[in-house]
Amino acid sequence: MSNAGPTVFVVDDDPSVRRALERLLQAAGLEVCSHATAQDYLDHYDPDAPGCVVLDLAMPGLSGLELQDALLARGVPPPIVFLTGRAGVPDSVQALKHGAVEFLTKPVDETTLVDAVRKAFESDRIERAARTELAGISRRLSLLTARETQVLRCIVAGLLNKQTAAELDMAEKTVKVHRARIMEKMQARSFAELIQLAARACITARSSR
Amino acid sequence: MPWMTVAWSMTAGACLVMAFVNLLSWFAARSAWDRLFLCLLAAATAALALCELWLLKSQTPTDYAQAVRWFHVPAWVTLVSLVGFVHFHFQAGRPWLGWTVCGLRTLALALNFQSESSINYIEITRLHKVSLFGDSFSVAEGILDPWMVIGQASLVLCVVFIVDATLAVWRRGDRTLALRIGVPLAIAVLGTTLSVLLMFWGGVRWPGVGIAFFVGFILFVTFDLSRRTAQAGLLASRLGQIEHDLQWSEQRMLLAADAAQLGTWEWDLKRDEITVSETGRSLLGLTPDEPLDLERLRRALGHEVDEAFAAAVTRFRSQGGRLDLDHRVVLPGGGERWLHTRGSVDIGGDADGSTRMRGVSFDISDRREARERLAQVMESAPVGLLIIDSLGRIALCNAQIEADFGYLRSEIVGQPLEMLLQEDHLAGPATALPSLHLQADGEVLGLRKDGSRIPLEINLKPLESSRGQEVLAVIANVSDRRQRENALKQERAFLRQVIDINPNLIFVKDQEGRFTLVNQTLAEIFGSTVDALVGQKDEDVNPNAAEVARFRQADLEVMRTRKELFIAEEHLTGIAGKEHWLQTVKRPIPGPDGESQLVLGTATDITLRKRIEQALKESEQRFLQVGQIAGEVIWEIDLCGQYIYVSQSVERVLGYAPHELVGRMRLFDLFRPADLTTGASALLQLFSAPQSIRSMRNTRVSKGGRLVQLETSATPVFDRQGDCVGYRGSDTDITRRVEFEQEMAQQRNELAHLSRVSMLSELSGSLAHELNQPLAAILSNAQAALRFLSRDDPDLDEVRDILQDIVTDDKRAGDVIQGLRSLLQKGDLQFEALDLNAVVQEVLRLVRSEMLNAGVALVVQMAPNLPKVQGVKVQLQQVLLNLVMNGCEAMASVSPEDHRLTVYTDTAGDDAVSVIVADRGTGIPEEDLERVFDAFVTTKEQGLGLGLAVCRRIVSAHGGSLWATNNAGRGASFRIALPVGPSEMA
Repeated sequence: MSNAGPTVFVVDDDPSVRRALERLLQAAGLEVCSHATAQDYLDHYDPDAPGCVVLDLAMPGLSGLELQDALLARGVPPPIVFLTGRAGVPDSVQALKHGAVEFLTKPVDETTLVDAVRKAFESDRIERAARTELAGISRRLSLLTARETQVLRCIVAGLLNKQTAAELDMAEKTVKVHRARIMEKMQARSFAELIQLAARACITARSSR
Repeated sequence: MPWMTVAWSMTAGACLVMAFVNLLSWFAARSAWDRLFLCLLAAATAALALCELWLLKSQTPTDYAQAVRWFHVPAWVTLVSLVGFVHFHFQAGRPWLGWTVCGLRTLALALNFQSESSINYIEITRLHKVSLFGDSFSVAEGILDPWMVIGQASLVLCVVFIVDATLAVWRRGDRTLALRIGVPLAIAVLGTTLSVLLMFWGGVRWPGVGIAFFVGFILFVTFDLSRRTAQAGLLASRLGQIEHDLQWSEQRMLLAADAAQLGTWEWDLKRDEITVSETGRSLLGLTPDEPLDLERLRRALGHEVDEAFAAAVTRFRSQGGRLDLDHRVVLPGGGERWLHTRGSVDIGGDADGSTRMRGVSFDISDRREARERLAQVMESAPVGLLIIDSLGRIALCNAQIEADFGYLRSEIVGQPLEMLLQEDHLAGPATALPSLHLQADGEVLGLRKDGSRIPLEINLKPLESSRGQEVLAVIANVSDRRQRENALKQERAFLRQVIDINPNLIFVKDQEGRFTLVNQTLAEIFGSTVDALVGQKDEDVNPNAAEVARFRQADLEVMRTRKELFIAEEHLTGIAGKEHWLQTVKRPIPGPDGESQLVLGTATDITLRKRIEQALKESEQRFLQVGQIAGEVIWEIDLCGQYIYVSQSVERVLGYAPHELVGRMRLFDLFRPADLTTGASALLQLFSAPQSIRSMRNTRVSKGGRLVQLETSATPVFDRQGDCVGYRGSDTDITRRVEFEQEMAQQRNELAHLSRVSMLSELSGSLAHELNQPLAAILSNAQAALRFLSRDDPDLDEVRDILQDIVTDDKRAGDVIQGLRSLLQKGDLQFEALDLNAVVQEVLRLVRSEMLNAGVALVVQMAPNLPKVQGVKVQLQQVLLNLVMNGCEAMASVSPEDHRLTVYTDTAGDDAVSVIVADRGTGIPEEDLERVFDAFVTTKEQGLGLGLAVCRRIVSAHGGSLWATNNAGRGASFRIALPVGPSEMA
């Protein structure tokens, strides 16, 4: 995670529009970095840089929608605010379906634009935090031995210790020991928290053994 | 006296007589050596007989031995002379055998005298008497000496020698000699030999047997020779008689020779003596007393023969031979004469052994002259002449033959005639030639030396001559004649062609009216052929009897008057009743016999002319009628414009009756007053110079004051001097048409506008974007400026920049709106000078966003400094917009990499500029390249199919053209070509 503040990436082929947007967003106190083409942005794209994209729809070369698809293909895309001179319904539907934060039409009022950008920043921040937490859970899950993982799956499935012992063909006492170690490794303070963590990490009762 | 003594003595005597006879005959002919040997043989035989008698009558062994010893001497002589006789008489026998015989006998003789007794006995022990027929003789008994074999061997060899010689004579062919002399001789010697062998080795004692053989032989030969001598005597006397006769004969011959002007001569080649008869001398040009030697003869023969003469003399001297030649003699007076001389040489054949040549010469000058004359005649004959001898060989030929066949004379003479003819023509042997008559029917071909063939005509005439049956062949080379015939044929064919291709009718008729010559044109009129028509009469082919009678009458008139007749027009009925009009000239010509008259006619078919004349008359009438019906006003005016004639229809068009106009009004009086000074003055100008006008529009005023639109065509009228005297013309009322056209133009404009508006509505999204871009920039800039200004320490420079940008963007938005406005404009459209590049740029700006949206890349190539065109900007933009949008749509279905539209501007020649819009879409099917411009043809689902039709109409109205082509790679190109400079809108 970068330490720098969030940046607005403006992508618009029209120089005068690009310059005007740059001025407006800077005047609103935001960090702005503009690109004349979608390809140019893609070439400089840094997944770790927080912020959002203000993206024109119709551009020579890669269009706005194509850039959105390209970013999706790369994994986790930054939040996108579309800004277009001609709003076609099919275009806006596709953009929003693919996760656009806002679909604005030119000319755009500064308030609308700045709000959309801020909303996008927030969305980006939450998204990044969630990704960080999930990464922690995953790291902890990876500390479990194979047996402990099996035991965990049984617990998530709601089996009692006795049932778990029968399922995994071990002594009930051994199940209890495993349970204690799982709690410790997953840094779960309560049984409920453990279940929550497992759910977050998408651990299910279905054993993949 | 005992009979043995008597018999042996008589035998010896007889032999001596015979020896003497033969000696005498040898003396008569010394060279007859055989006679001498025969004489020796006879003498020796006599001696042998005496020796044998001595043997038979010896009383003591010593005496006997002595007799034997001496017996060998005559025996030696006998054998040697026997060998000699055989050799000389037979001229045969192997010499080595003869020599061996003589050698052995000599050796025996030597041994005989070497021994004490004889070669036969080493010692004779005793004699005992044998009695025979009352007499007795002694027989020796003793030791035989083996050396006597040598003597006996010589006898045996002698037999072999004689047999061999006899066989040689036999083989030589002299069988009489072999039988008469050889066989008896061989028998005699063999008998003797056998008796000797029997006596010594068989003990048989038959006295005298050996001698008897010899005596018999000698008797026989001597008798034979004597008989022949007697015959020779007889012959000699006969010879004498013959000689006598010969002398007579010679004298007679000389007389005959003189009478026949034959010169006889004799030339002793050894002594070089030449004797010539008197006639001979005169032939040689010698005086009777002039001595004649080789030198003189040479002179007489002329110097040119010197070398040949010398060679001949040498040859005759060494080999002899015959002489048979024609030669020249130079006469003392300077003249010359030709002689034929024959003679022969017999080397050593004369009685005195000399070599003479004898012969006769006779004058052949006349014959020679005749022959030369004949040769000259032959030579100069224009045909080939050959004389063929009885063997079928060419004996003589002339120059024409050389020229015709390409051979040299020397190559032909002596060769068979076949060499000059192609093989097929001579089936039989050459000797059959005299009866052969070859005709030149084109099949007799001569064979030239170079292998080529020439047509020949050959005539053969038998000639009786001293050389037997000869044939004179007259060979005419007919290739020239063939060529001439062919040339004539070609010329005839050519003339025939000339006659046949002549469009005029050509014919010749005889007195009976029969066609003797017609050409193809005439034959075709009767549906006949040239060949079929010749020999027929008019009535045979023409069913129209009146016509036929008229033709016949004219023909007879021409023949009677013998003058040419010109018929300006006459009617002829051809095949299937087809009518022809003719202009005919008939002319008398003399017939082939010079007496009768023929008619040569040439007729020109004037049917067409007649028809045209007819048609013209009808046409005039028709034309007037058509003019009436079509509403056209036909008129004629003079140079002042005064109506001279005007058709009835003028009343309907202009309201005036013709009589109100003709002679009363001028054409120009019907113009609007304003037009006389402005618009219609162009028409007036045209009338000022004699020229045609076509479809010139003008406006007239009708009688009722209504404006009438007319289209006027006129052509000047010239008099005979070529001066213009007025105009003829027609007016067509086009008032309705003009109104209709105006209506149409208005509708077209409205349609174009509609098309434009619908196109703009299609572009609305894109246009909104074009407008929103600057508006967005303006708004954002303005709000940013407000924020800057609200700060405590506003950056005014920044704000100024912002305001500058706002101004620019505002103008940009204004331009877009202006463009839209002009496209939506309706109503009067003005032509103006336009920069095509600017027009294109403006359009591209409008569709930029549309193309971005469609993902189409745009390539623009503008030619700099394009000349301006006259046009209506909005209409041209409409066309371009249409083409660009069509191009984008054409690429919708192809892969995105190909979404590229190229727009070029360029000059097209000197007086046009072009704009090309090229897409990379699917292209247009070849058959639709033209059809896409038709109205209501569309590929779009929602299109009306008016776009391209309207575009083409707009471009045409600009005087340009719009068409589509498929690209070499892919996609299609639409091309607009517009003329440079002023243009009018229709």
